[in-house]
Amino acid sequence: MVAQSRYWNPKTETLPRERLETLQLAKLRRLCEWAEARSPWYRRSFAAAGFTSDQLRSLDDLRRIPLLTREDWMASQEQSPPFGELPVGGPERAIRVHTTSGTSGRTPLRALDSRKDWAWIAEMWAYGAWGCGVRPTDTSYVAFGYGSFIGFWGLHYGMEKIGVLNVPGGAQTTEVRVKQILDFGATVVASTPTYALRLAQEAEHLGFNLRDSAVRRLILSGEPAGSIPETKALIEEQWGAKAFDTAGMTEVGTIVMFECEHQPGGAHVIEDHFLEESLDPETLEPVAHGERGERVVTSFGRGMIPLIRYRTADLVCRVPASVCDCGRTFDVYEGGILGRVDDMRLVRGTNVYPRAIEGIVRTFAQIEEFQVRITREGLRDEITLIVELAPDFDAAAWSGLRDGLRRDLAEAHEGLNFRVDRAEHGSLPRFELKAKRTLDLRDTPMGVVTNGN
Amino acid sequence: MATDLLGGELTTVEAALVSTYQDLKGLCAQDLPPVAHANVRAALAVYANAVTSMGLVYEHLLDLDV
Repeated sequence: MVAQSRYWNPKTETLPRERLETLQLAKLRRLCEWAEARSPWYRRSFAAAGFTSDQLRSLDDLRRIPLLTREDWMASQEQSPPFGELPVGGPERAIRVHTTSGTSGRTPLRALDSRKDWAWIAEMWAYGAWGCGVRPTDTSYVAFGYGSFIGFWGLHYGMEKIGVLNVPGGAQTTEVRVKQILDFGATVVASTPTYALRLAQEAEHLGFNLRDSAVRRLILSGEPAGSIPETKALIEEQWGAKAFDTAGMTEVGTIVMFECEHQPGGAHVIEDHFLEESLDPETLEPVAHGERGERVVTSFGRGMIPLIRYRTADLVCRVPASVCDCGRTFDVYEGGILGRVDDMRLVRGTNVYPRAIEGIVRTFAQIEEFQVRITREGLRDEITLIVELAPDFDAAAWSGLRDGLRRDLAEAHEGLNFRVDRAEHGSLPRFELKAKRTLDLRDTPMGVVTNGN
Repeated sequence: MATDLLGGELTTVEAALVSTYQDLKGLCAQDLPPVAHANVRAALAVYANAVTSMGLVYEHLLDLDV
């Protein structure tokens, strides 16, 4: 029965919508009671909003609950260091602490987890890994540094829970990781999308063809690129394997969504453990299915730090589960995480999204790495795409590639003129975790250019 | 009659899962030597996922140090 089950949890993954919402409401009431009774922050927040748990008679009452922002969490950490007043207990009740990645340059959030919370974090990854076809007979390679950033820690334990032979690929060079993937005969590799491409580049440099390897699945997380069709296609082509997107966040502790084997062009929300809303980020009114909105997440899993109506700043487009024929009743985020509410840049009146640029760059297979720099020259904003090409790139083909990039970028951006420059091989930063390729230097004095690290 | 979080009657297997869960919780309340104290809690932490994910029980176990 186990190996043949298409679903990790057949009972809830196929619940009719009405029953699923009944389950969510039952959990929501208990979660709010728990938070109200145990968390100083929620007690004050609920009281200030005039909310009590007994007001929850249907999921429509969800909107009575005040929203939580990252700024709220940060402010609480600063006022009551080191963990703030969201947790329902102190570190003596916890077994782990993890932090956000810090790629935004802000002070990291610190998240405490109990034994049960940590087992639940692995459980969510097990939903995702099983959903994309991982089974106990697989061998997985987790290409991750195993540091204080939570990253793929949960996947590691989720794989063990399933019964997979797990190879932890921490604290190693990319070359060693490539060799271990081949030596151990890994059938599943987990990494960020950027690092999956980096591993493929390294394999080629070493003279290995990953298409001949045992790898059949890549589990991607940590960046929106796992659902950018062009990036995903490039990863699948270079590895000769299927790539499956997942997405989560440290604030939740684990993944919230996963792409199933049917690959419907998006990721299923794990709706028996999360209650997700999609709101207009300006008006905070719900948006309809098929429209873009900001993800607001309520997690039923973490007991130590209740997460109720947390504004994620992730942009998503929610569509009904029926877009996928896998049989799950969990709704789908079409295209995964579409970007961040705050990552759009305005350049000479044109909206520029990093995701759209990456989608174009990845159609040019000769480009190994890239960076976007937005600068102000006098009164005029300029946007420059800097590309790093494969070492064997034919220099005579450069002008054709450059013109093709400029054409495609302009067509996708209302005619906006991009400069396209070439960087020396190896000069642009490489990323193992979350890539940061867009540098908005308009407030930086001329001549001061960082490399993005 | 025991029901799940949806109000449905428990199946035989579900009732057995909940019964073992309650037994583990009961053990956590006992005065156990470190070897049992720690391993019962570790077991319950993982086990709780089965009954919670199947919609049978939903609670946080922090008061049991789990």
